[in-house]
Amino acid sequence: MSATTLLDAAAQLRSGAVTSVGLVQEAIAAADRFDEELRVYTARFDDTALVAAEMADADFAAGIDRGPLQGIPIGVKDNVLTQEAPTTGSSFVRDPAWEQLRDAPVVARLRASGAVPMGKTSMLEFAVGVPERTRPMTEGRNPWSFKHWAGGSSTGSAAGVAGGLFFGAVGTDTGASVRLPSAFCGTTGIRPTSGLVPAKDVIALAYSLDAVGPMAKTAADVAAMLQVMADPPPLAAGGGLVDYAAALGNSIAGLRIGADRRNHLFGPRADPVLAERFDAAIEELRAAGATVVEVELPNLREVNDALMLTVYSEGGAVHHDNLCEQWDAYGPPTRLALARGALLSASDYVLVQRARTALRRGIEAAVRDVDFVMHPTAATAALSFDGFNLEQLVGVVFGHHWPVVGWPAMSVPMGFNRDGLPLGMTIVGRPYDETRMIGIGDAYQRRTSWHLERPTAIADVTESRNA
Amino acid sequence: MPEESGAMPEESRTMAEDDDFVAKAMSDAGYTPSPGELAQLTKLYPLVREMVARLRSLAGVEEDAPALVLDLHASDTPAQEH
Repeated sequence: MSATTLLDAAAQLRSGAVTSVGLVQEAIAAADRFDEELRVYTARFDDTALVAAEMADADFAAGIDRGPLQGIPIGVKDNVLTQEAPTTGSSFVRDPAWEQLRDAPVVARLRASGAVPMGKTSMLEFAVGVPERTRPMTEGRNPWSFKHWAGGSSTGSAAGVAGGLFFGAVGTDTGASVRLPSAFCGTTGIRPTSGLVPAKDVIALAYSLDAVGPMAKTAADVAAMLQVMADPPPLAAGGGLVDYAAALGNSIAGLRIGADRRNHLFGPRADPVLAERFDAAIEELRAAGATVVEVELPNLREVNDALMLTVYSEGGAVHHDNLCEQWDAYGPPTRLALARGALLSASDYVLVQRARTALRRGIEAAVRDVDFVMHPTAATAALSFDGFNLEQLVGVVFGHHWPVVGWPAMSVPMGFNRDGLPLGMTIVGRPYDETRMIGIGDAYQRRTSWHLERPTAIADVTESRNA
Repeated sequence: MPEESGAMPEESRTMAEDDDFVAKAMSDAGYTPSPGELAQLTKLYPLVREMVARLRSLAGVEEDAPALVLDLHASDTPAQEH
């Protein structure tokens, strides 16, 4: 692509250096070159994207500017309804509700702002499965190494941004499904405050945990997307119009950040350079003016229990009828996860939701002296497909606290491991404090260039084909 | 008062009862797992009960914690003005 970031592309569109049709043609060419390896798309919208790009260019020519997303190619995770193609959740299960050709509100907002949907992006089946060789659409590969997984469940959204197939993407996050692939692919992604972005016409996994969020190269890029995707906050949280770009370029002096090193850096699965990279990120934030102190998040095991039991119960309810009628169409790991909901009672479910209140109180007490929290997004870089199994994920994925309590969290790249694979850092804010959270990510990215590095596997393919 | 279908008291279970309970829960739900899948679910069932038991003993739960209800307000509200 001729631009590196979404906002670079937006600037080039306004300077006349590129057209939207030109960007879409580049995106199509990139998909033609790389997607056989990457498996970003479950459906491509080449023709409608070109028409939308022509309209965006016509608007520019007429002096109509709908904001930074106008004319920008984006991807949409395949659990979000779009008018161009049925929604599959990367599954063979079919449901008439998902096959309707209409835009989910979040897609309608992006389209109204001039963004150009390029296609539906691959994911773990219904956001709860695992990569399966028999289901290639669940096995999205990493632009930094095709032998490694891109993470999930918003697999294609992250891989497509990193691989240069589009500039931004819609993802969803129930456990860590925006943040984990963002970390594995070296991109930036936000899980917003629960409820901030509408989840209507999105295939639910767990109603009380799901969040729809933006994924792109930089904090400034995801701010531009969130500006369009978000509802106004509720009146109790201030209401009114929020400018998610308001803290970009600002100093973070005076902000207090709690870094949880103890729970996240020293587990048996930790990458050998994880602590070194995370401590370097702490020093960058200190150099940018923030006060960083250590905190210790409580109840990691119980948080994971609450997350998984809620997924079993709510996901089992979402999929009950289809599990009855189409059991064999689900991937085996997916149906076994969802069927566990039938092993839980109503009183179990209420107990879990009461435990979430107790967990929230524990977190609030642990971080009461800081404005934000930071921790590595995962213990490792991307996992290899060789011998991949569920056990490999145990102890690798961090940040389950935030969906359990509904707080916003964003993952930003924080360097590479010794194999040249990206590592990610998560920054967490209190509910509806996305603007300052994005400001911290931006402050870090103004001092580093990890987020602008070009994926090596993509570069290798380009060089070999140009040779 | 007997606990409703979907769970048994942790302290009184046996492995045979787990087998029976999981098979009945799948049947009642209308699911059709293979024998191998049923065996996997049966093996997992004690772990699920352990997870529930851990949360039951979490500090603050038995005193006064109400169920967490997040403000998932977004569905019916308009977009921001841009």
